[in-house]
Amino acid sequence: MLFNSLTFLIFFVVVLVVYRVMPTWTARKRFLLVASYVFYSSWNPPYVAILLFSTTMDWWFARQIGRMEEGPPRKALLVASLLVNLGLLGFFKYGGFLLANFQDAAALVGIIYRPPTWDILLPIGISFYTFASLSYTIDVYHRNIRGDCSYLDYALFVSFFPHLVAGPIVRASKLLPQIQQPREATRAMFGWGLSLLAMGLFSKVILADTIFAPVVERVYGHPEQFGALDTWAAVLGFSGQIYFDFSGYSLCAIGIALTLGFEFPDNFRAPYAARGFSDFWRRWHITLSSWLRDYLYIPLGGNRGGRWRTDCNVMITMLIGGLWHGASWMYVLWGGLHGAYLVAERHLRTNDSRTESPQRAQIALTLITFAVVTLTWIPFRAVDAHTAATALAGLFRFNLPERVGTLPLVCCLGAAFVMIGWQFALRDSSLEERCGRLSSGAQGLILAVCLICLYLWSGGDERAFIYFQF
Amino acid sequence: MPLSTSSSDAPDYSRALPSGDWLAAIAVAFGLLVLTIAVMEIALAERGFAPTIVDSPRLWVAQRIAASQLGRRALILVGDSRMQLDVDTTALRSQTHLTPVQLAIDGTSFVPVLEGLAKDPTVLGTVVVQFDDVSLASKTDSSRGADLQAAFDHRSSWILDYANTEDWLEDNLHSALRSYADGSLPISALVDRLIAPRPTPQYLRTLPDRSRAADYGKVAMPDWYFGRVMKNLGEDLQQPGMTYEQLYALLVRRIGTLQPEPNQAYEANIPRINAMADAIRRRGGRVIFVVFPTSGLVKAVDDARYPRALFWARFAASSRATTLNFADVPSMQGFICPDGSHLDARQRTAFTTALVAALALAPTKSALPVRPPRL
Repeated sequence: MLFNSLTFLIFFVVVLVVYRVMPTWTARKRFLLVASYVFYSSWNPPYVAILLFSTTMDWWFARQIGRMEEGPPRKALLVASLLVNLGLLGFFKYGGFLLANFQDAAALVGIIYRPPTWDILLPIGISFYTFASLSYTIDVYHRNIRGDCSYLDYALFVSFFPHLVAGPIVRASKLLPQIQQPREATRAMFGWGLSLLAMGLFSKVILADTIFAPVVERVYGHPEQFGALDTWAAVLGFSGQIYFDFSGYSLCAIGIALTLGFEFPDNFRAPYAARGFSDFWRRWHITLSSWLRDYLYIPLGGNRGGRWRTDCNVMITMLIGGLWHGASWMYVLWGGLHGAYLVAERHLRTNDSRTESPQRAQIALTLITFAVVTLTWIPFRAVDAHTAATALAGLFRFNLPERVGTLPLVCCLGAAFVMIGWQFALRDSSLEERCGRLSSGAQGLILAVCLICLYLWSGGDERAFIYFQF
Repeated sequence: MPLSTSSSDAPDYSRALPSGDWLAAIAVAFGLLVLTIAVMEIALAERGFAPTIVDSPRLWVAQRIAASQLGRRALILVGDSRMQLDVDTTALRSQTHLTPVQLAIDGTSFVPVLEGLAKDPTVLGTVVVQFDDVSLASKTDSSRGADLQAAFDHRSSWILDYANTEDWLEDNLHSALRSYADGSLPISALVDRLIAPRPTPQYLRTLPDRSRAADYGKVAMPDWYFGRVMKNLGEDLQQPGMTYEQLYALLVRRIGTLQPEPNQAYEANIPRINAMADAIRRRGGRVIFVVFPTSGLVKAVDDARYPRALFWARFAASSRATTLNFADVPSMQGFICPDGSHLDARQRTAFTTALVAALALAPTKSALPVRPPRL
């Protein structure tokens, strides 16, 4: 059930109304749990069983871990929890990929291996709810939180529909307390939540799907047929498409949760205005990057083991972060490139003792960061290395005329430049702060433009959110 | 991600809400949205536009399911817009005592649909394929037909299925509002029907069984006709200030220079199509390939690019199914397509009657059931 669908609109209205008339907090939570499972089952009903299994196992493991004294059995339970979660993720997400790579590796040494046909559908959201669930078990193990929450509270934490399929990746330590204590959405929360939903849908449907996606899909479909102008538009366009697609989804999720009285963290903070790559990762998909930092990079040793060890930890984290996005070497390459940038930046910053750069240098650093991040999206978007290389070559193919069409090209490039300017302006601010400065007339007008545009461009092909596939 | 472990706290969950009454703002915005929709609907109504059934994937899949469920009673219609516009399914039903199932898809190849029917062992009825040379001449079958066939193959009968629910809601909403009439987006309705000084009138109606009825009396002729010819030709030759006579002469000259398309892919596809037809015939079904009427310069373009001797004649000679070209049937030769490519709604019944007679689709007296079967 996509947020940008009529089915969700009806589902959401029913949830809001019934949730509000429920007499007790426990009844509200039970209702939200049922609604979340209905929401999830709309994709593939049998996969509800996987969600239920994962939830039950982690709840039970965490409960035992929380009760036990320190020692090997406690650690063994944590390892068992990790194995179950990562095993499920590995089986569904990486099974086919591993078999295909094993086949290729065997062929290199002359062994003919034919893997079985792998036609198992990836359960939607498994990467997101697995990480959310893992955070609970690990935090209980480290005694950061207690492992004694009720099954109802835990099941709702994992399956709460606004974050279930594409995040933000919520932490048990932050969301469980909200679930355990009765909450009521204030008028301000409700109004701002609906406003975020409208702005999120506008980002997704109008900016990502209507302006950027057509150019991106056309050029990346046959990159050899397009010249420099079209390819630059597509490459810049994909920066816009993936940002507005995913940040739009995140805004919707945050807004929906707010209308029900729950607070989620920000997932994006003007990432294309980042100054350097470590700054970029503090602004892009914040809940994933902070998860990887806290549950992977730091346990690996973080920056505590010297230069070489730190570089290794950064690379491992980024490679796994890349692989998290999907079973493809292209994602690994993308993660590896970002890891290399972070390592290089770390070394450059260590060697450069200046603490404050002049404004011009900061602008230049922002533009360089954006340019490199944008070019690094090429292997992320391309289906294979050949397509990526062809698209990269297309950036310098000046002998072909423009083919995408003047209007889509102008809209795509124009929107990309507006996006950069807007993020630059929002760099040290927030959406809430900016919107709070508007007059009440402007507030209504902006939201009216969002809703009217959503209506005018409705009825076309529906595109799923990009991050659903991860 | 940050390189330092010093900031290893989780992201901030407490949200500073912006000042202002955002509930009032969103309520005002919603009010303006409703007002916009209402104004558009009223303005479209004043310009003579009415809501229409939208030819959606859900409707096609419903017809496709009927094609399987009806067994031998099914009269399955496959093709493109000509099959949708030219055939009167009510007349077809009454004259053949079979149940027409409209699977034709506007602007696409018939091949993926025929392939899907051939692979489905429950399809036992009569399949009438509106044949066009382009479908065989192209090397690939990537078309909307393949997408719809995939939608049928992966359909879910589960009541809470998201896709089914969404399609049902969309179909109902779109068939209630003028902004979505004829499958347009509201933005297209705004630009092409409200802002445009001379909007194209609503000359086409989609019927509940996916057939269509065109009223060419509503469109501006001969501009419409020349537009269709140039669309078929793939070139816009019209220049400002050009008279109709000059445009006609220019088109005739251009068509005179057209060369036949290469027919290697066509020849290669013939055994594939025959295998599909044979699969249905082996189950006791019947397959009929029919070339539908075209007229004037549209026909001239087709004849120049796909000469009968190099294309249709070769297919017809190799096919074990029934084949029929309208040009060979005296009762069909007289049908003139107003736009060169499709018949007007007023011609449909007569054409359908001629088609039934030519194909001997009408049952003999002894074969008539006591009561005509219905779906």
